[in-house]
Order: sequence, then structure tokens, then C-alpha cells
Amino acid sequence: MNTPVSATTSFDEFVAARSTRLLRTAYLLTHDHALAEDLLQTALTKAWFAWSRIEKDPEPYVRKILFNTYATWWRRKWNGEQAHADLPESPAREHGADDRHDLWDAMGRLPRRQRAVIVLRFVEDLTEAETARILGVSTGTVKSQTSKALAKLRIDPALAADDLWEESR
Amino acid sequence: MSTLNELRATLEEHAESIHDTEGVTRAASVRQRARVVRRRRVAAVAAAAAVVVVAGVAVAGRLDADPEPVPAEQWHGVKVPGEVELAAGTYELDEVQDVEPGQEVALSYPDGERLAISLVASGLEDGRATLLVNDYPMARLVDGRTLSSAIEAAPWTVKVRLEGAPADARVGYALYQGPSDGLPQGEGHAEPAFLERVDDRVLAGWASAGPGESAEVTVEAPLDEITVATLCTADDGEVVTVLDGGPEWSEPCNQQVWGDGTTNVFGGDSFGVESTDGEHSFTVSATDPDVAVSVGIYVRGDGRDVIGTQVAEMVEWMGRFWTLDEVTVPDEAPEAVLTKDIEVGAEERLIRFVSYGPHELELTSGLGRPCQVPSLAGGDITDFCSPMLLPGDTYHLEAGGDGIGLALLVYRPA
Repeated sequence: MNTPVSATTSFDEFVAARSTRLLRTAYLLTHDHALAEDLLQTALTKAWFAWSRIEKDPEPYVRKILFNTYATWWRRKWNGEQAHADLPESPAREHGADDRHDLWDAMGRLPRRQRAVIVLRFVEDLTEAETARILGVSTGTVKSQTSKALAKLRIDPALAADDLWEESR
Repeated sequence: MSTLNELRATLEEHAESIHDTEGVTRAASVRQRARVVRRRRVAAVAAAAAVVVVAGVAVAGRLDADPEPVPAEQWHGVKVPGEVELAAGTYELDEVQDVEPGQEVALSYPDGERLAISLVASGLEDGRATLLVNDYPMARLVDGRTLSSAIEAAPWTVKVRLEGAPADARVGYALYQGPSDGLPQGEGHAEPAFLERVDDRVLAGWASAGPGESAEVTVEAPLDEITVATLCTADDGEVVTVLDGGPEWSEPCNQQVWGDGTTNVFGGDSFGVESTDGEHSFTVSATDPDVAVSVGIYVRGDGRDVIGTQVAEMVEWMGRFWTLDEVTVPDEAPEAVLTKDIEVGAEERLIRFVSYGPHELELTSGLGRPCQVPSLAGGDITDFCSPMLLPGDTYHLEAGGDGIGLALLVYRPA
């Protein structure tokens, strides 16, 4: 495939302008900087092949591929992700940084699809219908996965010691 | 804290903590990846054409010598085979890499390519070497063995742990490049891209259709034992699957096999389709008229009845095949807790369990910490073990819960 210079330029401009944000989304999914970079570059590579068709509005396409590729990776049987050791004790502490750390760890214990749903709904601020379109599932599945994810976070041992989630119940 | 607002704030805080160190070179890196992918696609097309030519010669009656074998590589006196056979086909040796014990290495390869890994060691004597994937043991060499069976790999971070070995022992890993799990771009679907066996599922039928057309497969099996995998020639649009001319669902078009045949779309809460026996048809089409699609239908493999569940005699795991070796059912079902010690000899073992109702199976020793094994019935487990038990360890298993039936399955390499 011979790619016109203008396509190369617009691709480079898109990557320069938008890929930091996409990298951060990938990091929220993978919880690993190196994996996030690999995930992002994989998605961008697929976008590169389709650039002539998507260059007018590439971000939705890249975002969809990012999430789909993430799902594909983790569908490959056991994925080798570090299984979590015993949860740490939950000492009494002030609200703040420790709680956010626990919340981040608890997010890492969510199943992949639930983590993706949480990122799309509460970080990307997408609607249930938009989330469903990106993940290729029904809106009912988005609802149920969101509900299950929040329920898991509520009862996560690292968080349950606190009086959590009162506002979201 | 920990309201939805706090959740948002936490995620945004972590996202903002990422320093984009690759930003300047990313576009160039992506184009380099694209060149590699394109070269491999071209190579795949050329290989397919070569197969056609070879087949034509064979029909003409030539029975010359076998194809020249892929040469093995010598690594510190260890003969590393030039190719290995796994479920997806033949994997060719890409490299053998020395590593220092404890050195972390990130495996990276183009999306859509298959990769396998084998642990190699020299001079272990009475020591043992373990390949760790994110600190989780996935292969081991003991008793002077030098090469582990290859397993399918993913974008893992690996390292090797040495125990009780002489100071001059060497360890490393062999990487094998497998067949692509997609199709060459623009090619028709003349060959099935679906694996014949995935986990405990067997390919019951597959079909392909050109751009703008639909493909249909009919199989006879209970609906709740059927799983569906789809494949597109591009990542554009969605692939729509229609069941028995009625209910339909869609998923993103993907150039890698989507769903890999192990996900039972009817067993979850996504579609609410009632399971029925008999013949079922699956018709797939792409929403993008320029995209061709394939569909593969999987059913559970032949097996035996274990506490009322049909269990496959042979399963695939990490690209290897395993046969059912032992079934353990608690004496006093349903309340009994199942406990078992498994001392693993020279060959790995694979464990599964079947349960009715909420049960958990834990490996409480052999791994250094407890973790859970997923049930064949599914369920959400986050602290899960690999179900592969490695040579040189004794594993203690305990299972219990509030379910009404429980059985442990132990598989050995086929």
C-alpha cells in the first residue's frame, strides 16, 4: 500500500494531538504502562491501514479498536496477568490518597469487560448506548456489567472496611 | 470517599500520572509496525500460493523426499527444535534468548500473530528452572531436563527463576512464530481460520461469505452447548449474527477470530435466548458491504458424564492438548468438601472442576499462596490460578461452597 504524503501528515498530526489521551485510556484498561503503549500502538496500526476511510474523524474508530483489541487480547484464555496476592490488611486511615490507591487496586481486580465498561461510562462519560456500540454488546449487558462492577467495588475487601459508596447506592 | 465522583477522580488521577515518553516517536513506531504486518501478509499470501503449487505437483504423482525440516538451533549444548506443533498448527523457531535469572523481559509481537514460548536450560543438574509470567509459574524444568513443552504465549512479561542450580547453569527461552490468527487482507476465505479444537470445544461447522453476502452454518446441538466465533476481513463495522432466522446480535468486525469459540453467547445475560435442542442455523453478515465474514460454530467435545455434566475427554489449553486422566467426586456429596493432594511427576497436569451452584476450588499450596480455579460453569474470579500444575511440586486443592454437586478433573498431556 502506497500511502500519500498528505495521509502520513494527517496521521502524524492525529497521533501527536490525541494519542496521549488514548494512552491514558489504555493505561486505565491495562494498569500497566508498557502494555498500554503496546495496546495503543496496535490500535493505531489498525487505524493506519484504514486511514484513507477514517481520516476525517479517526478518533471514534481508534477508540473502538482500542477497546476491541483489549478485549481480544484478554479473551485469549488465561492471560498471564498477575493474580493478586492476599489483600492487605485494611488499617484505619484517613480518607484520601490511601483510599484512592485501594480503589485503583480494586479496579484492577474487576473482570476485563467490567473494567472496560467502567472506563467508558465514568471516564469517557459515554452513554449506555454508546458504550454498547463500542463493546459490541447490548445496552442490557452494559447495564448489568456496570451494576456488577459497582457491586464488586462496594464489597471489595480493601474498600469494604470504610463506609463506602453511600452516595451511589 | 468512593462515591462515583471519587471513582472518576481516582481514575483520572491515575490516567494523568502517565508520562507520555513515547509521544514523539509513536507515529513512526506505528508505521514500522504496519510495514511488518504488511510484509507478513504478503508472505502469507505467497505461502498460500506455494501450497497450491505443491498440491498440484503431488497430484501428478511425485513422491520425492520429505520437505526439508526446519533446522534446530544449538543453544549451550541444548538442541532446540526448529518447529513445534500446537493447536493452531506449526510454529517456527524465531529466536533463542539467554536471560539472567530474575531478568524481566516483555514479549511483544504484532497483533494477529501467534507466539509460543519454551523454557530452555543448560547445566541445571539437581536444580530447577521456572518460567514466570508476571510472577506466575507457567513452565518448569527439573531432573536435568533442558527444554519444556512449548505453550502459546501472549504479550507477557516473563522471567526465569533458578533454584538449587550450579552457578554456571544457563537459562533462556525459545520463541516460536505461529500461523496468523487472521486472514491475509483482501483474501477470500477458502480455508477455515477457525481452530479445530478450542478448550473443550470442537469446531462443528464453519462458513464464509464474500463482501455484501451472508454465510450460514447449521448444526444440531443443544443451544446452550453451542458457541460462536466470527471473523472479518477488516475491522470496519459490525458482524451481525442471526439465530434460527429470529434473534440477532452484533459485535465488532475483527480481523482476529472474535470470541475464539469458548464464549457461549447464550449462557450469559446478553441475549436471553432460551436453550433448545435440535438443529440451529447461524447466519452472519457484515454491516460494511466491503467486508467479508466467516463464522465458526463450536460444540462441546465428546466426553463422559460427570455428576450430570458432559465433560470433554480431550481439551486444548495454551495450545496443547490434554486428555482426561482422573475424576474425583467427594464421597458425601452434596455437602462434602473436596480435598486432594496432587504430586506432579515429570509431566504437567491440568485441572478443571465441575460444579452445580456456588463452589470455589482453591489451590492452597504449591504456588506459595492460595488462588482460585475457574469452574467450567464460568463465574467471575479475579484471583485466579493457571489450572496447569507443574513438575516438581505437590499441590493441595480444596473445594467447597453452597452448591449441590462438585467434581475435580485432572488432565494429562495428550
